[in-house]
Amino acid sequence: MVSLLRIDERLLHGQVAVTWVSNVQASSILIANDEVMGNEMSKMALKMAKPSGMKLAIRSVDDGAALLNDPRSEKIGIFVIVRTIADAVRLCKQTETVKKVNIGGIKKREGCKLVAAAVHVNEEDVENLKELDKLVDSIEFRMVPSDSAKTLEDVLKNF
Amino acid sequence: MFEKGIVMSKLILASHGSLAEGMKSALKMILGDTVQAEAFGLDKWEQPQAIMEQIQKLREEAPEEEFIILCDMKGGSVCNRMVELCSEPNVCVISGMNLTLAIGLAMMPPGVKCSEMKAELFEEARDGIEYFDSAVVGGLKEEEEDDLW
Repeated sequence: MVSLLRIDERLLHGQVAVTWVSNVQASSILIANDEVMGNEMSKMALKMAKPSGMKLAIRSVDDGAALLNDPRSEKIGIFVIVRTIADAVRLCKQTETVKKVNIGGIKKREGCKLVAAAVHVNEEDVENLKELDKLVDSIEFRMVPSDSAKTLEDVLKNF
Repeated sequence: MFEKGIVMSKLILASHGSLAEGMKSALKMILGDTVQAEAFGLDKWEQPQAIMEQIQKLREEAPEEEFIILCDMKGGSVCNRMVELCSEPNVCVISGMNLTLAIGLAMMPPGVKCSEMKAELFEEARDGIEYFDSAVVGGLKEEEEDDLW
């Protein structure tokens, strides 16, 4: 069971490990990212960020979806992290296990606008957000659980 | 808000230089702006005595709360002075400030006393001290454990 899908440029880092993982009911973390798969050093760094007592799997987006579709994944709480909205869409098209999405940090690129704390989106992201909205039950924007959340509606208004 | 009788705790950071204020800024970055902590560094307060007096004032305002004073260094002048405050009830001093420990203390659930959590928090903070170089990281690659179940 997927407790939460987090979209975060930095993937798994101290803030996520400390605040979100203890806030959602999860015993495992799945990082679904294609670039990381080819980079041993960043894989190692991510493994170091793993909170003790939790399981961590690092996969490509496609393999990550397959892992979530495995019947064994239904019985445990899984916190999923991807780097971009596009990756979230790709993942959610391949699995129906994701219901809730949290967006916590997207870096600034060409044609971007800051729409929520540390969240920069461009035209393409907005299209992807609308598509993601059809695939999951809820989307919220906030860095840490103690912040107040912005809705997709708020964000689209800001764009 | 909270039931009567439940101990609330106040986290106080005290240090040489501006480490305490910097630690508070790092705590806020990780835990969000709602994190509650007071920071006193010698850059601003100049004398450990001044920090002690300030903390005593805070104590008078909140006599029911447990004061957890996290100091930068055991045996340092700030820590030595803060330890004097331990003669009062509901005050404890911890030396060896680091971010892992500060996060653990800031996230203590309400109603829990520091003495009940300290063993767990100290272990976590000690585990956070590690050495990495190319040989160590190379060795880590061998560690399997890459599954959800």
